[in-house]
Amino acid sequence: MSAPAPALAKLLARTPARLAIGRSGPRLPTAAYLRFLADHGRARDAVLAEVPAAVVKKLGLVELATAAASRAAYLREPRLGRTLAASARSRLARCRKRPEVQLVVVDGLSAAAVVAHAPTLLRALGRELGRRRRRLGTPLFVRNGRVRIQDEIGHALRPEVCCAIVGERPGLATTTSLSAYVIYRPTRSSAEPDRSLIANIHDGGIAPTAAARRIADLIDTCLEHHASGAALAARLAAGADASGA
Amino acid sequence: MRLAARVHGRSHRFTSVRDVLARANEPKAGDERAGIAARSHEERAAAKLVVAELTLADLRENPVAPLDEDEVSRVIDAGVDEAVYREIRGWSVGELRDWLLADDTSVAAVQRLRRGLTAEMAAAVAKISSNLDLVYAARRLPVTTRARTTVGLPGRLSTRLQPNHPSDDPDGITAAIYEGLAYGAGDALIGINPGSDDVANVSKLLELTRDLISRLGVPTQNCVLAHVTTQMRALERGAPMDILFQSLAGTEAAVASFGTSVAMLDEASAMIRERSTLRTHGGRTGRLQLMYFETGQGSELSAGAHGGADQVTLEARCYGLARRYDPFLVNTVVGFIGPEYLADGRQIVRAGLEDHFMGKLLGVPIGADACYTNHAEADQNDCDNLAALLATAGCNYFMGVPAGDDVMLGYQTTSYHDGATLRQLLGLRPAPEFEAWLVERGLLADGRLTDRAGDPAVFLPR
Repeated sequence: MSAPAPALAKLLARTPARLAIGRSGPRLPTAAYLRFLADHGRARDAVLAEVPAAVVKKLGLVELATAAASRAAYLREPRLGRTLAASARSRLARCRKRPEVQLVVVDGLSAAAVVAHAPTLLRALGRELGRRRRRLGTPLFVRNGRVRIQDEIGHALRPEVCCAIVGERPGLATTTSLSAYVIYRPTRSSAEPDRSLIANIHDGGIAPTAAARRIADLIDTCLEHHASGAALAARLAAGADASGA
Repeated sequence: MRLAARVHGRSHRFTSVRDVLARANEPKAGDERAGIAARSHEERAAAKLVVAELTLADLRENPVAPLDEDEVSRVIDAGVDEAVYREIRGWSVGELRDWLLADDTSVAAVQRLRRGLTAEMAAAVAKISSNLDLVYAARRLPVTTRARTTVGLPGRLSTRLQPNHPSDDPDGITAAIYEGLAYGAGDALIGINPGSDDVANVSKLLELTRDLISRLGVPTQNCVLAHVTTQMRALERGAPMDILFQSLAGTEAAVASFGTSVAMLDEASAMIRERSTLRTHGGRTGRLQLMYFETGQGSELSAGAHGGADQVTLEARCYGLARRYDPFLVNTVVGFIGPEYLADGRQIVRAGLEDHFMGKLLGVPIGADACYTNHAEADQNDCDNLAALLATAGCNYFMGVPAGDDVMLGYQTTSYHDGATLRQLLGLRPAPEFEAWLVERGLLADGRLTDRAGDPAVFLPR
């Protein structure tokens, strides 16, 4: 394919979609097809990979297992990734109780995201929370975990706020995106609307250091308003109305 | 009604119609997780034997969710044509399957018969049909609908152009629309999944697509797949919308989990009839088809609202509900839900064929999003296989996405190239109005892409 006309190039520059790739008869040209396969291969590998134990150790995290004994079981049955293994419960018994902020790294659907961005994010988040003099819990890592594992951990450790940093489902464009789910006083009866979310944390989205500041600010707001998720949004909206009146 | 069968000297007993319908399914991860799947291969075969002997009356009288507890059941039951039903109530499911496959069964006879069917009956036939049965039978059940284009005519294959963008950038969306049209995609719909579900954004995207459709003179229709309430607010503010979208599910509780209800859908349907940009199209008279529904096996289990029923039967109930609104398009987004419901390519392909067959049997204009996510045991080859089978089966339309990679929803589906390939491979044409436009633009000749085709630059403003 020759270079696109300037007016078209201007439009194409605005989207990551696979456009102006040409065709071989009605099919994808070889190069475009093989690029697609390479991107899907990377995404599949990211889903199936495990976070190496050495990485967990280097980050100083206490590792917890879930009821999912394998990656395959984890992918098929979401319930397993929301339930702690018996070994995890005894480990939790030795962790700090009732901290102000509990940090949990969860592999979720992308070990690659944890390996790529959790080190920078945790270091920056540690600095931000330290500057704000927050009492931190024992930092944790959950292998084969889902977001709602933070409710189980909340039930066991009773933090004021729990922040779970979770590997997102890999796409073809990026396989290393993390999300932070922040919840005020999580319990076993917590639901999805109770969580505040900062998503798309990776080099092409919100950079990890910038994300750390946003997360720390969000934790401040949760602690100030004693709420998170939809309840926090409602309180902030009510506050804005009151100050506007 | 007999709920037991002997196979190879062993007796298999089932507790209810709902139970035996579930055990008769081909393997599905969702049914297994719900604890309702067959416990052995022989039990699955025994359940199919029992299902084949059930009468259509058994199925009508035993919907998987009771009439007094579930409005989806009530909608479907109330929609049955009693005169037709009286003629077939004594048929067994096996007899209905044989009749659908028989050489002397006419299209006109099926069109009459389907008015007497409920969702459970359509699901029951699917459970005792092989993949090729589902392809062959569905091909004989065309369902045609009309807006600016006529979709679903035999010998035609349409696509929904899906020019999604992670932040709804108008230039990025425009580039994807140009390229799609240049491949002959978009005769069913130009439908955008918005990154942000708010009235201002939805209205902006409707205006963008309306302006493009009108500047290029494309015979097609626009839609922005926001929540129904957002679209209704946009309509109230005068947004230029052709087709109104909503996701459906097969139980009242699962529909509620989507933040909607039959009453709300009734209201939305009345509003789009009142306000659609299409209402004045070409001075046409008669009943307009203005709704677009998406469905997919497993959403009821995902919402914790399956009530012990299997995902195939619940999917058929989505089509039963859709019928109430005489939709322009229904789309099974078959591989989007993930491996917790459809584990791998084999289950996705099976589900796609079941959904298309059941939809056609119940008379809805069904197309398919042949697709998969990155955490499923599936890849683009599975997507190719399903699309080729469904195109052979007479599927009304597929999605058209740049190289099959949806950069907003983060999953893979059929590409602009795939739509063009399937047409050329199987001798299928675009919708007639759209074909004429492509020919006039010099992009299609004798049903094949011309040298000009595939270049988005042909639509740049001069």
